[in-house]
Amino acid sequence: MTAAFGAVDQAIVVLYLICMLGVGVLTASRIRDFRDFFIAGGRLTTPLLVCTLVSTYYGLDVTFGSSETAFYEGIAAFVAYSAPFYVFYAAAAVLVAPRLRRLSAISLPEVMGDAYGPPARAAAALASFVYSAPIISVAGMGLIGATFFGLDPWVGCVIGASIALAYTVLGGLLADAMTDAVQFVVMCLSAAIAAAIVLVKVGGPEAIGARLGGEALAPLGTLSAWELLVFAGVAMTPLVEPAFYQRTFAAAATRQIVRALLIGTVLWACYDWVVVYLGLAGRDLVAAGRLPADLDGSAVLLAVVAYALPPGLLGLFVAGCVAAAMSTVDSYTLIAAGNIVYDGWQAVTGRRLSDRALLLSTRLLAAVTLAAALGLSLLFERLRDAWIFMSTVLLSTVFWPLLAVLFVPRLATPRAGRFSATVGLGLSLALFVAFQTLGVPTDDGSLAIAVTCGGRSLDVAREAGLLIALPVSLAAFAAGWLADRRRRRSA
Amino acid sequence: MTVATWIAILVLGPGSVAVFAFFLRDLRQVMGDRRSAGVRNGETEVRGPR
Repeated sequence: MTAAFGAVDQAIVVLYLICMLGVGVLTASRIRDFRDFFIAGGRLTTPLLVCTLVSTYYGLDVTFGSSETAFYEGIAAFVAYSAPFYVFYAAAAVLVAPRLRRLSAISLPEVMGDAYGPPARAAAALASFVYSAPIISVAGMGLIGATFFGLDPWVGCVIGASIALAYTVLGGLLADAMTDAVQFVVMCLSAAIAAAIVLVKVGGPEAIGARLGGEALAPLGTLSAWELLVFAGVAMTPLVEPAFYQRTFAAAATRQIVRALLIGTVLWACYDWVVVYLGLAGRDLVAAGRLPADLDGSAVLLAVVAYALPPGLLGLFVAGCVAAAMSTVDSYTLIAAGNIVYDGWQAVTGRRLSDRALLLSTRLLAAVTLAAALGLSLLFERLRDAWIFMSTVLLSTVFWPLLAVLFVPRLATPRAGRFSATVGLGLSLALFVAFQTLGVPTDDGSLAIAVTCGGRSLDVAREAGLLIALPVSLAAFAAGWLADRRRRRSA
Repeated sequence: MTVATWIAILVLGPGSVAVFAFFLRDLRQVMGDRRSAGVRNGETEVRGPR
């Protein structure tokens, strides 16, 4: 336990965890069938949708990942990485959500299956599982346990994940959304209070920039062109985001989810800015010798708040971090398990499961999902890289087929979706395995493979996989569409 | 940028509390029977192809 983190702080965190379990028990009695469990019976209203969207989509990957990126790259973490997302959040609200509401599906893979058949549904279920396995947030809870409670990281992971698992298994999306509401206010309030205090103690971004040099405030920092391209590509994720889809299907009405996504966009932007500012402040405090010189980027946020906040408020902030992690762990565990059982199993076997079997299997698989997330979290040194890998798998598998379903239905032919989904999924996973086995470590903690092209040697980083897999997935979609057209003409 | 940071803090702090207050207002509807949430404000939709 850190010196500043006292008994009051610990009591706040423990009280918060007990409250979450209480909500799970309260909502458990409302679950009658799989629809109740997976999309809360389709009765969520705008305020609850705002709470659950904001807290779910922003977990420790954003909280720790953005502050980590700001620590290394300065304000570019906001301009180059976060800002492109807002365009696609708004597009998801205005363009995607209303079209999704016209479908009768309750999950992203089911949309794929209805349009392209069982193989595409199974591929989408697997991609959604990889994307949704809460790798970063599970690892982050271990970091919090180690930093503030002196626990072994794996013990922190297991305790945090078990509590999230308990109330999710009990109450499904309703328990998840209700706890998200509390987690939303705790994470937003704690970040706002921490930023206000650090702002007074350390100074604003301009003052920090004057001390660190202009590079810290350069809009694009030291990021290379290919990194900017990958960031822009990853920012398209909200258009095919499983949690967005689930909540769109769970909304009581179309305008409720549209409003929620638009309000959420403003809150996400504010949260990003505050977290990036705290990462920048951490870099300033390291340069001034007030934080350790060997401070790791992923721990900068916790180090800054431990430095700045008094007892009590520090406990609130740690509870906010736990809230950010748990709201992501519970939601994505539910989605990952639901996708495998409801979509993957039914698509592969061709057998419809009863509500009772669906509920039992999803609850059991939730535990397996968390164990898988824990294992995967060990493969990444930087949080941002894990997030890019997960987004690459999802985008490469479902991006083009889903856009076709929603915007150009006449292009959504069975082979087009099937080819695109299977090729995209296979290639993105194959690239990842190739980089893990053949890649050499780079200075920024990633892996790269040297490629010779036209006599010039080029280092291709693992995170560039998206730039390869996404165009190939589009080519596969076009090939499938052409094959279907040729078949129709010859028939 | 300092002004932007203060604005973000104000939106995030009081803003999140306001959203939470609206959530509490809807709590009975969300927890209630399946039809009540939309029926009361006339916003329930029947989803699916039309």
